[in-house]
Amino acid sequence: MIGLAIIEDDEKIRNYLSALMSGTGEFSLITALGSAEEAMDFFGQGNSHQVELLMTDIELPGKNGIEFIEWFKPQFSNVQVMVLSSFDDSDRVFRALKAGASGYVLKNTPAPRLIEALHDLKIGGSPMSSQIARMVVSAFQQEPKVNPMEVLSLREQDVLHWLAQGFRYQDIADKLFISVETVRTHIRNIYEKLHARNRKEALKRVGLS
Amino acid sequence: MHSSEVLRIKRPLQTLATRSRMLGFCLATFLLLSASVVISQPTLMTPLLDSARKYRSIQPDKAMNFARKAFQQATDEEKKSRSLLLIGVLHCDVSSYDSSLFYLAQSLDFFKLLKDSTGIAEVYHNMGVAKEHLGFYQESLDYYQHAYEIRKKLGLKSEVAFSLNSVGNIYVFLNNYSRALELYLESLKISEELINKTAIANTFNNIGMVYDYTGDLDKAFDYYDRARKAYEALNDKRGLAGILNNIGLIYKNKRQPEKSIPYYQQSLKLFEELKSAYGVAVLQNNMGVAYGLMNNQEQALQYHRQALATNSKIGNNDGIANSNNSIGDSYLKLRQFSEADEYFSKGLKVAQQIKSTDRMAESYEGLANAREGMKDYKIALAFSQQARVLRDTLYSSEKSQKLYEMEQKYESALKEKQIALLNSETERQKLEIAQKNELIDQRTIQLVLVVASLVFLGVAVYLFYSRLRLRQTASLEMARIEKDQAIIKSIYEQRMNISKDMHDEIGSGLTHISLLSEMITVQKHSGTEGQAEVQMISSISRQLVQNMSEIIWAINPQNETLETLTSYLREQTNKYFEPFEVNYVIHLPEQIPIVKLTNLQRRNLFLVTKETLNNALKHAKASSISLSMEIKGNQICFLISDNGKGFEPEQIRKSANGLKNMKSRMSEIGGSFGIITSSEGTKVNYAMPLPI
Repeated sequence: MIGLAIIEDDEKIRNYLSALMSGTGEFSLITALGSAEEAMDFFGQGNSHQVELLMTDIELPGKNGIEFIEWFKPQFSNVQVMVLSSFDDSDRVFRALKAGASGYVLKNTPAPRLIEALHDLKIGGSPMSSQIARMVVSAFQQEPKVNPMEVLSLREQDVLHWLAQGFRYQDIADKLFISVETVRTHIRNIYEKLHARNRKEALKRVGLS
Repeated sequence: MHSSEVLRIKRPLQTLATRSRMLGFCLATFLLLSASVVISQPTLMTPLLDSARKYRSIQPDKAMNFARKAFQQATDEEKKSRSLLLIGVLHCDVSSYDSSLFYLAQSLDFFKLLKDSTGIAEVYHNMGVAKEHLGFYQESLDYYQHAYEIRKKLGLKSEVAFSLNSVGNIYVFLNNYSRALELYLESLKISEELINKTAIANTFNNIGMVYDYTGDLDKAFDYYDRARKAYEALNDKRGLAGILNNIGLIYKNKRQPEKSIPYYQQSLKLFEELKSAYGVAVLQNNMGVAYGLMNNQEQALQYHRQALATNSKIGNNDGIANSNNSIGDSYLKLRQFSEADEYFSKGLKVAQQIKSTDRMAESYEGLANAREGMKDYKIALAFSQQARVLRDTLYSSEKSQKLYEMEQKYESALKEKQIALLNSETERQKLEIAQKNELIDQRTIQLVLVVASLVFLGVAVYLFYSRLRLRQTASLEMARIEKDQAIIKSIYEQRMNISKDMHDEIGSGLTHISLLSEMITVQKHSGTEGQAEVQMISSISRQLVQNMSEIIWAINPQNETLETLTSYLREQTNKYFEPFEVNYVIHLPEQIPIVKLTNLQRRNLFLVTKETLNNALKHAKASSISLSMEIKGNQICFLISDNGKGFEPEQIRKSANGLKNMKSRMSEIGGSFGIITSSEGTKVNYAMPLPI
């Protein structure tokens, strides 16, 4: 059983997701919350230890999902975050990914695909669309890199390049003569480097770096 | 949820604010014009006419009786014409404009017979008043200007001052504030010379009005207050009624509608006492607007209905159009769309009669919103387009107005500079000559002359260049405005495309879903399950999310290159074919020249590709499909081939619409579309010129 938490302000969708996840027998729903503030209370009181995956909406009353992830991820780096979005609004999805999410899914994705995506998240990040990949590429190109943790390896760059062209994981694996699992690992590493860069940027903004 | 935000089509413009604003001015105009008639009765004719004039602003009925008696007892043409004029004016006061025009026309005949220019001017002026109150501003302007010219020729100073105010008021109606202000200031100068207190107060009011309209509320308040004190001192009920309304309007514009209500109430009471239905109508409207702003739609509706009745009684077409639109607005707010639709239609009809683009635009906007509320999106779209076109003409006339103002400013600044320079020049010459006078040295004088002419030359050159520079700035400004307009036009086109896409791709699906859920509710009552409907809803809504993200993708400026299009096509094709047992090959070049596509180009290329792939899979039942693209010469060429069963005759008829649609999508972006089909398979090729 994988421990899961959900943040979604729409009660109907929250109930639907809760019922769906509890019904699979693969996830144990730790909590379903209605706002970022409630979630900050919940995790702030040290209730995080069972949670392995967290699904959050972007549009929330008060603090939005992106702000929440920025708060959450540095403290609970071992929890993987998945963003729920109404549309493929790549700009906001990308900001959420930068803030620390490792995957995103559209709200009315069919149930089996949603569960699949959560499993993907557990083992290494969920699919990255060509638009998002493109944004990731330019995020890494923007300034000269110094920290090796923030530099993409050649292989990771290759993976991103093909992702940006709209190729599937299988196609990329074939092109690079590696397994799909390895592609996934690269993607997970790309996500993590993206988060690391973003943390540094965030510190820069407040003048602490 | 996010989705509802995106799907809501926003109202194009705030109609309410503009509408109530205009009305404020109706009133302000009203008060001025009637005042002008009182004063400009030049000679005392008979005791009866005198009494009529005395009672005019206190007891209108009594005044009318005296005037009628004066006419009956009139022994000569002069007395007849004078009393007919007064009867016409009194009818105008109580808002019987048709009768007023009738009596005025009769008096005009007498004045013409008598060759009495003063009288003729008087009649023209008052015809202008009646026409103005009926909403025919252009005709009104003509009458006022006629009267002004005659009065100016005759040297009737105080009448000229009134004419200037009246013409200024019409310019306010026509949105030309700078011209109006100029006229008011000219009028004020004359009235101050003549120490005509009422006229001064009226002009203060008008100037306040211009400041109110241009947003300088503090200045406006200042002028209104001066006018109010003057009216109080003069015990001028008419003036007071008007100014109280205008002060109320200032509070409305300060977004404190609750503070304006007591002012309106006082004003309304005075107008009722004066039996001025026009004033009453204006106040009823303004009360309605205030309650509307306070979100008390029931009260608002009540006042607007009263205003409509009053306006109808006096035949004020502008007011009728406005009241209908306002009632429509209240119904919109109450979400009673078919009632709203009805009233906006009525408003539109009247607005068309009086050719008021302002009111027509308001009606169309209202109709668009009402239809949107009734889920009649197609008609809503057409209406909002109409409104947009009308607003655009308003907008461009405002623009040319700005240009005119700028011109005026440049010219006057230039003249001032010229005069200032010349003055200082002559001063210096005088000084120099005085200093050197004692020496009376011929050479010194020569030197002075040389210096002077050099300086003069310098000034001339300076003036020449500054004029040149001003001209350049003006033409730069013009170019900037033209560029702005081009941008506005292209944004407009893009918005039209987006709204069309939303309508076609999202609207119908949502309607379908709402119908299906209705069916489920009905079936639940009769006991049968709605399983099939639920499945449908789920698949339609998934389709809608897909359509929506395609629209968002096409709008997003980050996706403007050909390369992003091929990436997106590759990704979407993979996603599309993955669940099916089908062999597919994608041949899209990995190296693509950097080419920018417009929203429309990438949207159309994407949709044609999607539709063709869909036909191959669903209709031709192909087991192998290939999608390829290459750049040949200056063409971007797509080819989609499959091994399906082709189009059967029956199928062709069914998909004729789809094919026609694809062809028109390609020709919309200057491209071509061709199809070859047989029982062994189908080849579809489409191409568009490579953008430079």
